[in-house]
Amino acid sequence: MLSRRQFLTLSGGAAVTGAAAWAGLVHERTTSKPSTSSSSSPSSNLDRVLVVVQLSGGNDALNTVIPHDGRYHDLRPTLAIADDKLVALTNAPSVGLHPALQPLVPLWDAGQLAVLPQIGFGADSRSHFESLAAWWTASPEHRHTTGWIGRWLDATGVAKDNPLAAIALGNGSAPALRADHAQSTAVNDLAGFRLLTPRSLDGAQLSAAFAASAAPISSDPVEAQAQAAIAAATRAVDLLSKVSASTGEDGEGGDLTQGLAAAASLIEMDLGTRVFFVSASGFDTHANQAAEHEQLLGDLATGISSFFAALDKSGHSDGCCC
Amino acid sequence: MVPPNVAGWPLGPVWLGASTVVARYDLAAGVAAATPDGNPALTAATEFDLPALAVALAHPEGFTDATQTALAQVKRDGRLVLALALASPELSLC
Repeated sequence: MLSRRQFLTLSGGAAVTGAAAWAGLVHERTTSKPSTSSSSSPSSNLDRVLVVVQLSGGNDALNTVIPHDGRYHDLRPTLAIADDKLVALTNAPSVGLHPALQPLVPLWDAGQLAVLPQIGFGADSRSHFESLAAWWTASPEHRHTTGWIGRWLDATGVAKDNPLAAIALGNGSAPALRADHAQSTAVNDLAGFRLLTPRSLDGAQLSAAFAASAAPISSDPVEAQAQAAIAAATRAVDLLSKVSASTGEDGEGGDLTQGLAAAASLIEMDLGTRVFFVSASGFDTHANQAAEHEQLLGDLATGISSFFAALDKSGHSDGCCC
Repeated sequence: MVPPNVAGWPLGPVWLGASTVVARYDLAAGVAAATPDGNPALTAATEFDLPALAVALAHPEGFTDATQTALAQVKRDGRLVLALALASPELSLC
């Protein structure tokens, strides 16, 4: 029988935890822009930050960036969004945005939003799992078992001694960060991410001792990895508790709004994080699509616009690509 | 035991992610708080008899130096010792 130790050391196989994903909205701020903050420029160790937003389940792209094309209406007799409801984009006469994406318009007008439609890969087997593996590994031919961000972390060494160099927020986002060597931090559920000790026990003492068990590092590599995970997790719990303290009560906004708000706060804390991978599920809207999709896209648009508003305020927006 | 999807559970170090570490801590603390008096593991923990505690938790190899040092920090409360032992790296691996 497979022991847990063997199980943990298995690196092969396409480990898949989510559902089909799509991210077609690219927001980039690469041009130099004066900071709206009166404080000085972002500190030097925050070079560029990439924020990837994954819409797990596979977003309905045709009802997101919607073509002004008769065929669209013919083929979607019940789900088509009426032309007069679409959000117009300057200089993009052939398409309009879903009404829920209205908050993104100022970003488009400022030249900070780009749409890269119809991106995929050949030889699609139509398997959700193969597609996700291809998406996370950026390797449709299954040549890699590591994630594309994980390989970048390994190649650049930015995660060396900093497990917070790459942070995944939300379920199903971690595989993109999987690396041969680099440690990263994956938080499945932001709201539940805390060390909970029953009231009858001394939580402060227990969590302090738990953090202490991460050092000194064991000579056994797998045990050392488990210790490193404890060190990274306890630090991340501590940091994210400060984030939720500064952003107010939990449960405000959808998963993407919350995840992106946490990312903005963490960028402000300047922890050397270079990649955030924010993921929310539910985009496989099979039933009740019209209402659910509207809500999900609203969360996406609010999340992205609030994210950049927060960064503008803290003076960190120049180096961010979402 | 509901797997995340029809592909089943993933393999590999994803089980040592930050969220699983936190979940393991929460479970260990909950189990330690709810363990009835007289339980052999709790008795060994209260007496701070670490070899006996390791045996009671089906890990006769014993605890690493790092874990023993951390356990000593909570020595005065057997339930904290039990919780920490349950959440230790060695018991996460087996």
